[in-house]
Amino acid sequence: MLLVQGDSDSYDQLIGVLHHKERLAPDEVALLVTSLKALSGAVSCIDMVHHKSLLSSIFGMSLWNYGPDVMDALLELILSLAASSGNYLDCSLDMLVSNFMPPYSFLDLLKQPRGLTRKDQVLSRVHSTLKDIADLVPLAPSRLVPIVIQRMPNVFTKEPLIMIYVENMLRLEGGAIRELVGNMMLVALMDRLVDLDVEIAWEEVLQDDCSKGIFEMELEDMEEPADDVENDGGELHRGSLSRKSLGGNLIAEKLDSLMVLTFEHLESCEAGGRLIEVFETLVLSFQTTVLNAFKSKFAQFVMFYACALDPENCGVRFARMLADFFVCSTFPPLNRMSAVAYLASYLSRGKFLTASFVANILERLVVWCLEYCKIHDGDINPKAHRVFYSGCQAIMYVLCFRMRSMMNVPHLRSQLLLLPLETILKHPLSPLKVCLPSIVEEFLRQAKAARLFTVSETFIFSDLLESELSRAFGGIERLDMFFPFDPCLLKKCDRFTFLAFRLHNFFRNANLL
Amino acid sequence: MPNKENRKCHNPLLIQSITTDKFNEIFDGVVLAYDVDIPSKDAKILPGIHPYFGVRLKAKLLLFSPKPNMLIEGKVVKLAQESIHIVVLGFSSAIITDEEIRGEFKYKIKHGEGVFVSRSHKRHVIKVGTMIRFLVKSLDEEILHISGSLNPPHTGNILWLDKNLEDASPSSRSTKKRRENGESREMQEHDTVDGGVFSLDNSHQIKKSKKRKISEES
Repeated sequence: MLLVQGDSDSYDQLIGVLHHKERLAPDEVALLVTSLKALSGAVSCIDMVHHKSLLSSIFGMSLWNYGPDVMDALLELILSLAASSGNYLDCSLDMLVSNFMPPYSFLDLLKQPRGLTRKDQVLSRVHSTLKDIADLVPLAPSRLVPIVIQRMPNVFTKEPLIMIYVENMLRLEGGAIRELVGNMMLVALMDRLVDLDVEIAWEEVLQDDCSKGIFEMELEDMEEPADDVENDGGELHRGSLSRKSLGGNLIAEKLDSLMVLTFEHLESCEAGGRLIEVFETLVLSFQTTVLNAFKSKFAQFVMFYACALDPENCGVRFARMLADFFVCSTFPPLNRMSAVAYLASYLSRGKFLTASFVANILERLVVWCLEYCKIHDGDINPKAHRVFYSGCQAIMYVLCFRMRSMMNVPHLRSQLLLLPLETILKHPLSPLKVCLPSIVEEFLRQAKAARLFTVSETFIFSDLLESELSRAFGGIERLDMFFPFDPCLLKKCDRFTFLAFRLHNFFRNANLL
Repeated sequence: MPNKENRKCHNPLLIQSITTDKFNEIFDGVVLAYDVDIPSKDAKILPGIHPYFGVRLKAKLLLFSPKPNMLIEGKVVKLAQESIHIVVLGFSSAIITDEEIRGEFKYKIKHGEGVFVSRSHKRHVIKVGTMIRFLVKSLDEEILHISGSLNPPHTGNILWLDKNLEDASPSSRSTKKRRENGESREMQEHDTVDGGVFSLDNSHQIKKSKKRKISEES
């Protein structure tokens, strides 16, 4: 049927058939299917130069416009093209990836059952064709990865389109060719989450009202009995907070939805017993992307949720990684400070972590700080010893959350009492004067009540949240005021993570741990 | 992807990037395996913006380097009237179109699947899963895609050919002798690795910088 030279009328007619996509009558469908099948058989006759317009028609077709018959015929053709020559492989892969998303006009239809059926028909076929191509051309997956990444919608694309594209990426991560492409999909996704994160201004996240201390809201939280709180919505259970809501911020909403998609994917990985290997990729990505950006606003909750799903493996791994990062002197100071800030917030907020594990990590931090004190006998110098001060602050911060529960367990109580906190905190480097006053004050108050630690001099902070010295050690990035695992302001995410704590506590109680 | 167990790696420090399944321009082929010998641990400091150490080493490389008119072997993964699709060594793909399948072979449907049967020798059958020997016409180096041919007389199902062509010409028979141009063929026992045409190059001396290795490794 295909004509290589001459008879351009038939050729043009063929192209015309391919372009016809609006409301095809049954006989038109049959014609299209027949044409596509004939082309599949004649793939070796198609010439890249002479049949340029034919090829661009084929590669420009959107599966979303047709029914399953045409889809199957078209994908058979794409498969033949991809396997026939290197010239068509990239174009075929590109065509499939561009079919991850429906045409713009289709978006409204997606909300209807008809649209969802079509979506399922398209995507299941796209992914099985990708697998078929990989079977015939083993190197295809490595060509696929850059195409998928390059075609990722940018942060300003409409939310439903971003969502559906990311759905496809996650499908690749968990699908038949996951060994070859899965890692890169996760890394690219984390990168995109960080991109969105960066677009949200800190002003929208931080509180105006600095007079409200860091711990005020937390104390309300801690005093509530664990089972009493109802999950009646994202914001209400936190008590009365003058917390800014990010409603109306489109970027935040996109990030929120994407993170929930990611959480759900993590859940399916966990159910499939794959979470640990997936987590390794996430850890690597966290180290290279999130940790290097110093202060991520929300993307870190992906790690948090994975840890909550598997505390004994992922939860432990994450904390140890952060601690390793902090104590390693070859990393830049800012990265180390950032790591310990993540660690402190994580150990405090991760209710799924056992008290004894937290105690052990704390001990590691204390040992490091002690070593530091022994080597440096200088005086206060916020800038020079900023890594040290961030370590001290981390220890105090975690103890503010965990001290009470630890003191109630005899062996942890003795472990705590044996920690050389006095040596460190009363050292000439004076961390009590440099660290964030609100944290120091709360720590001293609790430590005195627990008879863990007392100071002779009174530290009068007059309810100051921060001080000049804390600002100095925190630097421009204000790493003195960075608590990344504070309750997430993204509504949908927060419901997930909140539920994760409560469920975990519930199961723990049930098992009488 | 090729079977990693097949590689004899004695030195884990060497670059991973050599052995990813990409066509390496310098060696004119895909490096499948290497055997490294470092004669001396003396390093030379190489000048440049970033300091590098240069260490001399000798390596034996197993290269996959199909050239036109070479015979090559692979497993059939898909078969249709218009074309046969083959995978070589688990990572390289090949296609033989119907014009390149000699007239001796006729396409039939047997037990619901497509096969090519020789008209002169009914037992000579090619179907999905068969290991076949075919001629290389061209290679697309970027995606390691071979365009092949079953026109020459001694191509086809390897098992059948080896059994039935005792008087086969030297180019298709396997020999344990290593020739001057270093060409040899091994029959692999391993399930997942297919046979192929290799060229062994003993005399490559490579000067590599250790630092670059480490940075490329990460």
